[in-house]
Amino acid sequence: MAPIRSSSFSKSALVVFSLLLIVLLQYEYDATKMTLPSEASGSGVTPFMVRMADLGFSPAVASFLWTTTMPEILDLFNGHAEYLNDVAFVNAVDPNMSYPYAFSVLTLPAIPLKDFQGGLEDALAIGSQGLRSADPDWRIPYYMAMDYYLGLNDTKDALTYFDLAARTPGVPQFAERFSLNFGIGSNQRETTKELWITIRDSTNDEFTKARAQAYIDHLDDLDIIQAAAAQYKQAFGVYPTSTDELLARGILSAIPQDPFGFTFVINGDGTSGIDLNKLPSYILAQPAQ
Amino acid sequence: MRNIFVIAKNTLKLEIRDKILYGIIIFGLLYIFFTLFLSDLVLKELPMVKSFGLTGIYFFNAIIALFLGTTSFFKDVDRKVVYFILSKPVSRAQFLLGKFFGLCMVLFFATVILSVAYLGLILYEHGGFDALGLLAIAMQFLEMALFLAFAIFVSTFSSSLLSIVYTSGVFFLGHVVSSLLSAAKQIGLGGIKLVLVEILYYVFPNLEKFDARDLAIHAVAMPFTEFALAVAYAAVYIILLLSAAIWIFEKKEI
Amino acid sequence: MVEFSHLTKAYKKRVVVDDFTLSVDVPIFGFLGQNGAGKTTIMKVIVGLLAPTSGTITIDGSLASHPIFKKKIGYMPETPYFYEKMTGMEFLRFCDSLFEGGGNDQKHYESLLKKVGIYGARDFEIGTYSKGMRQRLGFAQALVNDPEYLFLDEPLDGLDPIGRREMKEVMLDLKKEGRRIFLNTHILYDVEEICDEVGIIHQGKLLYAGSVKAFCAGKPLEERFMEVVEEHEKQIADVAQTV
Repeated sequence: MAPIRSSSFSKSALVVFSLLLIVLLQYEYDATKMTLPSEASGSGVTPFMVRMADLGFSPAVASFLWTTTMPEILDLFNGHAEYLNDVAFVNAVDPNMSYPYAFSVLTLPAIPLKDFQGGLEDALAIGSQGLRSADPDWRIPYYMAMDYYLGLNDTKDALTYFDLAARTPGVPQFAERFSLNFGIGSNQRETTKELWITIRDSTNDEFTKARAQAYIDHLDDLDIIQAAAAQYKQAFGVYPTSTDELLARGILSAIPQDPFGFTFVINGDGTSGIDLNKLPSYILAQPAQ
Repeated sequence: MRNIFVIAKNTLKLEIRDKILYGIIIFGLLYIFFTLFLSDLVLKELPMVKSFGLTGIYFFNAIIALFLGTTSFFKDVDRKVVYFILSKPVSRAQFLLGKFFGLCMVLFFATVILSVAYLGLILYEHGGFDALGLLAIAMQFLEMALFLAFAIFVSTFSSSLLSIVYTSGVFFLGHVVSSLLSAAKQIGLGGIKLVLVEILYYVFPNLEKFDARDLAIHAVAMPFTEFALAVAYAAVYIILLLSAAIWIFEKKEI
Repeated sequence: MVEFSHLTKAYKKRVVVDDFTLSVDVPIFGFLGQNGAGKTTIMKVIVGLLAPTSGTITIDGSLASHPIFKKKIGYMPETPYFYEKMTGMEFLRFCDSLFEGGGNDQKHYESLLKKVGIYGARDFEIGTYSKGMRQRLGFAQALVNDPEYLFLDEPLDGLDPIGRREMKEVMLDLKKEGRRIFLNTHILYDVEEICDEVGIIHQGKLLYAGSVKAFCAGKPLEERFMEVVEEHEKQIADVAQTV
C-alpha cells in the first residue's frame, strides 16, 4: 500500500473541484434545456403522474394504459362512459402521444346513441387538445375536418382543418391530395371559394391570409380552365382532351400556374379537375401510407 | 495503465460466464418479443411501440447494472480473491478502475444484444432504422455507467444487500429530484428548507438529463448543447464517484 | 536480505504485531507460531496488502513498500480464494499478465503446473478443484513471475502426506535455484525438516530468531517451543504484577 503523501490533498481537491463542476454543469443544463411543448390537461394531473414522468416511463405507461382503454370504446354502446375518463388520463400521462387523440376524434362520433349525447362534441374537444399538446399527427386535423363536414355540416371549419392536415409533416399522399382539393368539384366550387374568401377577409394573420388566397387562386384556376373548355366546345364542337389543346388553338395564351403545383385536366363532361397521375413532387415525397 | 485493461478484460470474460447475467438478458429478449404482441394491441402505432421497446431496454439495463455494480467488486474483495491481485504490481486504483471499465464492457455487451433485437423489431414492424432510438439507448448507457460507478462506490463500504438498497434509492431520487424542486417552489417553500432542497437537487445525481427516450419516441432530436452537457455531467460525476471509491478502498484493511 | 525494523501493526486498541525487528539472510526462513500470533499479518504487510502502523521492511536495502518489489516477489495467501469460473491455466495466465510483458508464456505455465502437480486439471474450472489442488495452484501462481523472494502463508495446509512431501521437494528445489523463501506455519515438524532458520512469534512478538538446531539444543522442537512460550507468558505476568 503506497504511503499517503500529498495524494490525500490532491484527492480532496479533486472531490471539491468535481462537485463545483457538477453544480455548474447542472446549472448550465437547466439554462439550455429544451422541453417538449405540452399543456397538462389541468385537473387530471396527480403527483403520481408527475413522478412517472420523471422516471421517463410515461410514454410507455401511457401506451400500456392505452391498450386497455381502447377496447372500452365499445362500452359506450352500453352507455358507459369510462372511455372518456380513461382517455383523459392517458393523455395526461403523456400529452405528446398523438394516437389516443386521433382515435377518439375518429371513433367517438361514430357512436350514434340517443343515450350518449355529445360524442361529436367530445371528439372535437379531444381533437383540439391534441392539436395543442400532441406531436404533429395529420390524423387529428384530418378526422376533425371529417367530423365538422359530416357531423356538423360545417364546411368552413372542415376546410380550415383539411388545410391544417395538408400542412402537417408526415401526411400521406392521398390525404394531402384530398385535403388540398376538398370541395373543388364543379358544383361545390362557388361555395368553397366563398368560404375561403370569408376566411381570408376575417383574419389579420398574414399566414392564414396567404394560405386562403392560395386556395382561392387554385379554385379560380380551375374555373378559368373550365370556362376555356366551354369556349373550346363552342368553337370546335367538342371538349378538349387536354389543356395543351387550349393553348394550341389559342383559347388561352397560357395555362394558369397552380399555387399547389397540380396539373389540370379536363374531364369528359367539360368540367375541370386535377390530374391524379401527375401529383406534385412534394406530395410524392410523402409516405404512401 | 495496462493493468486496468488487463483487469477489465478479465472482468468481462468472467462476468459473461455468469448465468444470472444471461438470465436477465434472456428475459430482456423475451420482453422485446412480447412487445410484438403489445404492438398489435396498439395497432402498431409507432411511438407506442418505441416506448415499449426503449423503456424495456432501460429497465433491463438498470437491473443488470444494479446486479453487476453491487456484487462484482464487492465479491472480489469480500472473498479475498484480491489477495492474489494486489500482491502483484497492481495498485488498488488500477484494480477498481479495471473493474469499473470491465463492468461497463459487460453492460455494453448486454446493451448491444438488446438494441439489435429492438432495432430488428422496429425494422420488421415499420421498415426503418430508428436512429433516434439508438441515441436514446446511448444516453441510457451513459446513465447506467454513472449508476455502475455509484454502485461500486457504495460497495467499497457496504455489503451487497445494503449497496443494492442505497443504489436503488439514489437511482430513484435522481429521477425525482427535479420535480421535487419544482414542487417545492410551487408550494412556496421558503428559506432554509428551500435551500436544503436546492442542495439536494444539485448534489444528487440528476438523472433526468439522460432521458432521450421521450424525445426519441416523439421523433425529436436532442439539441447538441444538451447532449454535450449531459456527457460532460456524466463524465465528471463518474470521476467524482470513482475517486471517492478509490480513496475509501485505499484506506480499507483487507 | 530482508530486514524488519520496529514493525508494528495495530488495529484500534489491539496490537497485532509488536515492535518486530529481525534480519533474515537464509534460503528458507519459517515463522512459527500459534494461530492468531500475527504471522499472517506480517506477511500481508511485507507484500503490501496492509500498511504498517509504524516501522519499515527493506528487501536488499530498499523499502519493500516500493512498488518495484512486487515484481520480485511471489505470494501465496493462507486459504487461497480464486475466481471459481476460471480454469487453472487461465488463472495462471491472468496472474502473469499483471506483470509487465507477461501473459504469453504458455510453456512456462505448463511447466509450473507440472511442477506443482496439477497439470492434468489445467483446463478444468477451479470450482471443481479439491482443497489440495487449490493449494498447489496458489503455489504455482506465486512462481509465475520467476520471483527472487517467496512469501508462503501455510503452504502445506490441506495437503495429504504425499502432497506435503512433494511440495517440500519443490521448496528445496527452489532453494537450490537460489531463491529465498519465507513461510508461515504452525506445524513444528515442517520447520524442523526444511527451514534453515526459524522465528518464533507469540502474540505479535518475536520471541526467538535463529538457527533451528541452535534453538533445539538437543531437545525436541515441540518441547522447546512450549518452554519459550511459557517463559514469555510468565514474564508478562510478572511485569503486570509489579505495575
